[in-house]
Amino acid sequence: MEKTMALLEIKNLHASVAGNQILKGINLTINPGEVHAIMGPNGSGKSTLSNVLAGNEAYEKTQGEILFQGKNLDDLAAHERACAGIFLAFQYPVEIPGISNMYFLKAAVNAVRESRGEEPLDAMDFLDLVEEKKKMVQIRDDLLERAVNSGFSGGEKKRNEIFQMAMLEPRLGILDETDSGLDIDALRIVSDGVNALRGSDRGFLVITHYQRLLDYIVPDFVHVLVNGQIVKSGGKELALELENEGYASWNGEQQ
Amino acid sequence: MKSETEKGFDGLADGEYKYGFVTDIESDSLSPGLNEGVVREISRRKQEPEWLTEWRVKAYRHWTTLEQPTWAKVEFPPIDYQAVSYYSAPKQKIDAPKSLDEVDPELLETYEKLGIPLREQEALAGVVAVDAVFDSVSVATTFKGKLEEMGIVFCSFSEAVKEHPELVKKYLGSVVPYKDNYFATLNSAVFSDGSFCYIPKGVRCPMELSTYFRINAANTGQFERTLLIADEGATVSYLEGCTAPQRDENQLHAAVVELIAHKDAQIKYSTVQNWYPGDKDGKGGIYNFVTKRGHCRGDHSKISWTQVETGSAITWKYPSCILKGDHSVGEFYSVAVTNNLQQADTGTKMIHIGKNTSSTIISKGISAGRAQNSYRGMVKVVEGAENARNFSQCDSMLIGDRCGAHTFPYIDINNPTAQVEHEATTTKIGEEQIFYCNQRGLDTEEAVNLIVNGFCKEVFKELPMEFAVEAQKLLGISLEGSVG
Amino acid sequence: MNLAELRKKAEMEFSANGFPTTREELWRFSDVSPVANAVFSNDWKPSELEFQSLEGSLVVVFENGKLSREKSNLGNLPEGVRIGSILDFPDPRIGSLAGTQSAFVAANTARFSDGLWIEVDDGVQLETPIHLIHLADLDGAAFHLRNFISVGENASATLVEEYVGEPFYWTNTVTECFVADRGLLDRYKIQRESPSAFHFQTLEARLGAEAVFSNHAVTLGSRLGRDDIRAKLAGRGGEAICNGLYLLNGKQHFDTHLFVDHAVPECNSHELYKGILDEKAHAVFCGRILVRQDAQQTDAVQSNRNLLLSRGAKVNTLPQLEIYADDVKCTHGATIGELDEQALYYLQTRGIDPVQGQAMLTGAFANEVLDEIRCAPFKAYAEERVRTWLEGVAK
Repeated sequence: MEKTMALLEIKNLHASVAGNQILKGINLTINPGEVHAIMGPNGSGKSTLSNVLAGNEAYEKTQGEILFQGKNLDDLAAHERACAGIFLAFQYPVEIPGISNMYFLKAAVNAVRESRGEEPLDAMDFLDLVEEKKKMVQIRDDLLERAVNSGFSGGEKKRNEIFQMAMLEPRLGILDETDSGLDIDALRIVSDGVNALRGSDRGFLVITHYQRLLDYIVPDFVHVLVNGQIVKSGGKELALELENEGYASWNGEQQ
Repeated sequence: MKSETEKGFDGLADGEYKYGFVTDIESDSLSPGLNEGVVREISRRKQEPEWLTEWRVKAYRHWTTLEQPTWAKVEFPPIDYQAVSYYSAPKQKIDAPKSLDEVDPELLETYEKLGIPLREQEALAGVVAVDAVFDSVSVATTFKGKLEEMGIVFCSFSEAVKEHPELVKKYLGSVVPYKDNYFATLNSAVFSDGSFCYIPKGVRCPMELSTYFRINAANTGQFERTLLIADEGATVSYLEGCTAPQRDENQLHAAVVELIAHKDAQIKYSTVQNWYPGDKDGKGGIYNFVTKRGHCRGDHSKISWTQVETGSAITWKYPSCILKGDHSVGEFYSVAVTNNLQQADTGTKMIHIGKNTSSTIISKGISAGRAQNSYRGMVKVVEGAENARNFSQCDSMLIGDRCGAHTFPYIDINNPTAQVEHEATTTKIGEEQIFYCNQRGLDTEEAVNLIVNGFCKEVFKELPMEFAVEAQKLLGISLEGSVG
Repeated sequence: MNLAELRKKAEMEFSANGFPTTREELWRFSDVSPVANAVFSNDWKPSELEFQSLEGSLVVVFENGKLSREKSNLGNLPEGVRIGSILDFPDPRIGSLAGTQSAFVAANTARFSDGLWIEVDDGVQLETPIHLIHLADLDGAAFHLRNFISVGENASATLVEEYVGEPFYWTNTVTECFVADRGLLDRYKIQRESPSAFHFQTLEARLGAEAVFSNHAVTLGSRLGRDDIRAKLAGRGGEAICNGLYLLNGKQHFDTHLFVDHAVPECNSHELYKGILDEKAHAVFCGRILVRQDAQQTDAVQSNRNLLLSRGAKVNTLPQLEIYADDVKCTHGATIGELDEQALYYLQTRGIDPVQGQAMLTGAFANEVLDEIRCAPFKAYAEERVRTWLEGVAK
């Protein structure tokens, strides 16, 4: 049988921000259908990894290779990566006053569809899609009419991120500390949304500081990121181990 | 009826101006009045070279064509420039003191009263070198020898004219030209002394350099001039303090400070200005009309101004930065406190000329009593100044309902890559905060002090340690009696 | 002083002093010598311009400075509302707010030929917006239009002013507004003058207790122009809102001078002015908030934001706070800059390419002002005009 192509393959990835080397050789492969969790202390490079994958120009890849569905990402700008199926749920979703959430989403959905060679959705079909997806994260109608993330509470912003993910149907969802700032109810709603999106053709990279989120979004693999490198990989039990022992021993090992 | 807050402040304001004493010392003064002869006489007494005499005379002639500016938000009766004495020097046995032993002991005592030890062994274990300017003349400069070993020149302006004429000639007026403005032009004509400092290439000045200005004689104007040059890669931190005796008349202080930062050089210039502010009814006090400007001449240079302005009847000053070098940085941190009938119109100008320049302005104005406190600032980005960045934050606090706080920024942007952000707020001192402090056992005066110090924290943290402590104390004294 | 005397005095002052120069602080960034040096005619002819009125509005058309009764539609006015030519309703209050405070006001006071007069009686709610359209197509003419609006106690009205024309002329309008206690006046202006015309306007508003006055200015036209907007909060609990959007390109120069005078306690004022400048356009914004000594519990917020799209565009902004009362909350802010890179990146991660993203963010920048417009038909109309302008920039 022919081996299925990996969804994401990261080989010896080095990256820097403002001249500071943050990632120092990351290797990671995510196959379709898999959920990988990356855990690590503050400053270990978690957010850098998500931004490098999404194509943020403030982050510079200095060495290594990132293949998405076998294709090198180097020459793709952020929006091209998004159209190719990479979705980043931001740790701090950006507020954009003056653009309504609905207008923004329609522009995004149609940009993605266009790149796939599909017809743009008309207003009616778009509204139907919104109706279908909004239940998933229990997003209120008034939030859809408001400007993107403007005046949203922390929980509302995170729910809006998952809602957008549901709308855009990416191949790879990257959740950057989506649990930060969420109370237990919001955490459950967000997690249910993510779980509903799990499927055999979609992969997830869940970045988190705490094990708590992984009680709700149960990963297939857990990796420990310390000082820009993955120092240990394992199954979901590794997360519990970390919860009990903390990151201190890993920091120690590095020194 | 006065609120509790205001009552607390009243107690504060009655605090005496503790630097208000007069030193009994014989001085050698020119009689009041100003004309070309006086200008030449000042230059002659100081045995200056001809080029400098002529420079002064040119300035004087230009000054006679100017009118005193009226745009600042300050009010004062017309100044009789002919009633001012333009030169006053403490009489010395010998022409210039060769060492501190030759300095009049009365003078040394004065500085000790001010808390400024001039004797090196007493001077803060060698962390600060001091140049003391009494009326118009520099009386002592400490740690000269030690600095000389590193090639640093730190001396009185008069001495620099004699010992380093090439440096003075090269830089004098290169940042503040003699035609700059009414008061700077007057200063250029009649300046008597001041401090001069040159940090050679690559030298990091090992100690804080400091000048203390003291006006003593009556009816005397003080017109000192400071010139500070940091050559390529040099770093220096400079402190300036000012006090004057308590007199019923207003006295004029029109100083000029010029800073030059070459490539990779950094200058930090801190001022604690505590000239006599006048009494509660606005009688007496210093008119502080000062021109301060820094020129970031080289790439990656940085000039940072920090000022704590608590004194003077009227303050008119705008320490500015001309950001000519690429990647140069200008900063302005200011606390201006006005109480009773004090008036302050102060701020800065940031002129972005080079590429990738950035500037920060943090201004905190506190107004109490019947005082008027204005921030006036300009941010200008010229057409070729790519990627200029400015952030300005101007906050005003009002204590009592008979004072005023005003904000007048001028933002002039001529390049589309500029990012400029200005924010200003004006609020009352928080009565809930005062109550909270009261409830925790602090009296209103302490509470106000605490809150005002918190309000100014961003600026105080820019001051060198010893100055920060002094500034906090001064703030308390200035606001004494202001909570009404 | 009666109006005739005031007009005589204004003529004398204007002839004696002429136009301001850039040596005067209030005019330092705006050189009006092109107006001063031009010669204007006093001819008149009817206008040939087409116009479109706002849906469901009472239309008042002025052509080349004079009211056109044929083109206006003032058939069935509700009871308690009077609308017509200022020449037919000499109100003793005309000239009481605007007399000779600037050369432009003096010229208008002395020479106004016509203007809109509106009076809404106490307790009357005029739901229908009034749409004033000024059509100018008399080359080389000067139009001094004088408007007077009075909204009674507990009354309300909405006025939309539109200025449009071709090719070269000078519009110089002065509007005096009185809003009595608990009255409400929403005023909108869309300025679409010819790109070679001069447009100067002074608005003086005086608010009673708990009165609300809102002014929204959308500026697209004129070669050289200025809005002087002055609102005096003269009764407790009043609220003044002054918003504006200026979209300039070519060599347009437009100056806005706002002055909000908090004369009494417990009033609010909000100002949001935004500008997008393309090519060699130059914008000036001066916003002054004065809080007088007894105006305690004042809440004043002002913001001016500018987007420079090209090399050669420039902006001078001077937000000013002048405060003599202590129990106040006053803030102002000004920004000049490019589009938010974070927002652009965020749009990109959702699949939107940078060119489209920029257009969306530029539109969003303008929308923040348009979103504040309460009059729905005007909002739709202004949005359409702004969209057209932005599409022009994108090309």
